[in-house]
Amino acid sequence: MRLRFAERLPGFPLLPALIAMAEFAWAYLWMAWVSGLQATGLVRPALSWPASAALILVSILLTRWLLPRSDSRRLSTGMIVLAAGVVAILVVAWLNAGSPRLGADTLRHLPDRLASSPGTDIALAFGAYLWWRGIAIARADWYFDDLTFRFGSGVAALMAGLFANGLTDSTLGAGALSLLALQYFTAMLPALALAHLRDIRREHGADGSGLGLSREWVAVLAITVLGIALVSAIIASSLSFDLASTIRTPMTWVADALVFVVLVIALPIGYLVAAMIWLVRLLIARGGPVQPFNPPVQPDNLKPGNNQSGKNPLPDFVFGAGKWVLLAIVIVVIGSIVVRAMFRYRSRHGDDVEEIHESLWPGGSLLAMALGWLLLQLRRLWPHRRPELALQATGTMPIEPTVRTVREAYRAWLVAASGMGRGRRASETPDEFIPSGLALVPDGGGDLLLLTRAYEVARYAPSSLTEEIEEMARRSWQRLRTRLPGGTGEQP
Amino acid sequence: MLNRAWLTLTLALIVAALLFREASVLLAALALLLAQLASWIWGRYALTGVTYERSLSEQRAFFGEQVTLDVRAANRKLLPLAWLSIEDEFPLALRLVRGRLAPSHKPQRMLLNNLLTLRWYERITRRYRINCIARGEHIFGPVKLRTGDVFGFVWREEDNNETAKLIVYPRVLPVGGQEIPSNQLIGLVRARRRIVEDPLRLAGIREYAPGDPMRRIHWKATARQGELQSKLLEPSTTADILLLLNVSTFDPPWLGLREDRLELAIITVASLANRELLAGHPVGLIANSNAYGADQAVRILPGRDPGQFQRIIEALARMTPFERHSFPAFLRKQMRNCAWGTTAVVVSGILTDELAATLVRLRRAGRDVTLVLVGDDEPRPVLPGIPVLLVSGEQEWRDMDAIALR
Repeated sequence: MRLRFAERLPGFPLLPALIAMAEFAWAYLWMAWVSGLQATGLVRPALSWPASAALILVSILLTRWLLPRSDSRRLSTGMIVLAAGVVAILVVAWLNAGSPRLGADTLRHLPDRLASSPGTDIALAFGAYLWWRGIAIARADWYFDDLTFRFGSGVAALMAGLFANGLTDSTLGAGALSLLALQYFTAMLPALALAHLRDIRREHGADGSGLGLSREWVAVLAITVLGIALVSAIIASSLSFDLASTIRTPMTWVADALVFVVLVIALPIGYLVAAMIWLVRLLIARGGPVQPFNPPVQPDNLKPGNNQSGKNPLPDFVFGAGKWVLLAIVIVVIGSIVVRAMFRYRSRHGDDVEEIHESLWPGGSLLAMALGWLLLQLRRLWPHRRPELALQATGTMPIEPTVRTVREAYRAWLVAASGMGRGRRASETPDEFIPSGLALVPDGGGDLLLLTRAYEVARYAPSSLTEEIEEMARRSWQRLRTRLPGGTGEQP
Repeated sequence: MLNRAWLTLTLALIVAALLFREASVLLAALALLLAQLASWIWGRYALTGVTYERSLSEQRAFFGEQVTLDVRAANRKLLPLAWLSIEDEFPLALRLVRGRLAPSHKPQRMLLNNLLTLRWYERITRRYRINCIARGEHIFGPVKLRTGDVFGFVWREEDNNETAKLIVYPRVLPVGGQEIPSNQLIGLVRARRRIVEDPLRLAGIREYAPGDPMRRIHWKATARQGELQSKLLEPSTTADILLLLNVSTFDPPWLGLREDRLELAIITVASLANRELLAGHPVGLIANSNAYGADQAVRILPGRDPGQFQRIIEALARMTPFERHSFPAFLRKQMRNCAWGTTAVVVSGILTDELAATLVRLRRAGRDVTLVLVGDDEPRPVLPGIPVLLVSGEQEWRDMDAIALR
């Protein structure tokens, strides 16, 4: 079944969300830079990344929700949001002032308190900016050409922000800056692709079947974008002499995730299998004494150095290697399942037309190609055959049934002729043997000629033999056989 | 995005990042460079190994039948195609059973759009069912393939001019009502009128009657019976029928075209040809129009070999609705070259004064002419010596069960 996010997530503003996350990346850089200026003197960005992201996403979702609603509903929601904003400002100012007792002076001193708290001002201004951008992005109907322009301006803003943060005292570390750079590209590139896809669909009147947010398209896009991000991260890390830590960190995350998978999936399956075995044994024993169910793995056994014998029977390196092999098998199995689910070929009856997907791999599959390559390498290692063996092998090459019949018929004739004392010499061609054969069967000249010609075609012609020629040769030999002295001869 | 300015800017950023040892800037610049590299690779190799094929389950079909159109796009390389846009031209007159067509700027054409994602070494086949609801020679293609990178920065186009052809025959219906009379005296088919007997068509023997010529005596039967026996011969006629179709439905023809009337005229011709060929008459077809792609008027001489009906119906299927010659003059010219004794059956949607005069003149010249007038509002004209048959049902030709010659 085709995966269509548009059907699974009706109304989800994927494209605006991606654009917002890209724009938010460079805006956040600038906000962080402003936060670190001497005038403000903050040690952290005025507004945290999760809060900023949540703010712009909520703004988009709320705007999208309001767009099809009535004007009164929009007005009432707008008033609620405005009131919430005012309350937020008041609460932030009150908290920054040390949460004094509420009184008449609280509102009167609000401007002074806001002026004396640059962090609050920046946070409020940035929050308002994000809210505004969320509304603007959610309201717009995005086209690819608009986005290419925004991509260019965004790259410029991003680079300038990165330089500004990197060359001055920033509230963001190098890792956070890199992550924001990656955020920009991993959001903007899919946004461009999505906008381009929508443009194509618009161009085709939105009725060109196929090319929705199919899993194939998503897979190609994901592989490309993640590949760009990964390769650029690796190259950048290697050039900044930070490769080891860069690689180690995600590998640690992956290893932790896989251990979690093992504990969550493999252990329950093990318990289930053991319980089923115990149940089967109970049924076989028909209520008799059964060995009690012992779980195959006890949580205590997982602790290092706590095995039952008190001594590991295997060397440590074998035990460690085994664990990694097990982990690799789990990765391969899970990866295979995921890849197969994502890339399997199928026939689909879609909304409009029947669609059939076929693989065109030369060997049928990647696995077959790999096996073929392996066999080729093994054959190269094998000792070469001697020439006579090669000749034998050539002699046993499979030949077509029609060719075989004709050649056997002619050989049978040669055997019969040899039995009559006139065999064909090795230096004699079939054509040269015809006069000798005629001497043996004077009244079978026509059949002998036909059989010889058919044999020449079967033996020397590059093209395959037709069934008519085969039938002709077979009948010629049958007639020839009856004319032999005694009517002997082998049946082909 | 793939231009020299972007590339220069990206490289400058990389150099600057290395100079200032800014890992984050380097990362962003590399991501930008790799995105450009990916786009360049797609732009260069996207159409390599991409093939498009179109195949019809049948090359010929009768009106109302369904045929299957398979379109196959294949990507024979490792580089996947995030999007492949296929704009295949489709005849306006035909309809898809399922699926939609987009309008085209070309007259009488539509576009069958397919948008696909092709992975590595993958072939996708889309199967459409086509309703053959219009007679004619329908051309599928040419096709335009367009693809590019996943982000949309670059794209490549390729035109494939290969086309596929589907010929939809007109409806062939049973013909009821009056027969087409034939006046030829001796021929291949047994006639009802006993005017001249055919010496090759022996019906039996009878006793000799005085006055019977010697060549009428059946000598073998005479020897067997012991008394003179005469041959009893059948009369015969050869209805060499030449169907002459006038494709004009207005006078003058440039006023327009009554499509339904023309279709009914063509159906009438096809049905008459079928009936007469089945009856053993040699049938030919001449029309003042040409087939698609041909520069000559349709002209099939009378014959009754097994392939004759195929030739006639194919010519009718491929016939254009535009007159190539003025029909009266065309009729006079064609009848001059026609064998004497041929029954000319003129099928027309209109009867102009000039056409009526031409028919009368042909009749007076001894030609055997029958007029089949097609149309709902046509009165029966009176033409001296010329049988006039009417065919109505102009609006219902799609649902008719038979052609009635009145």
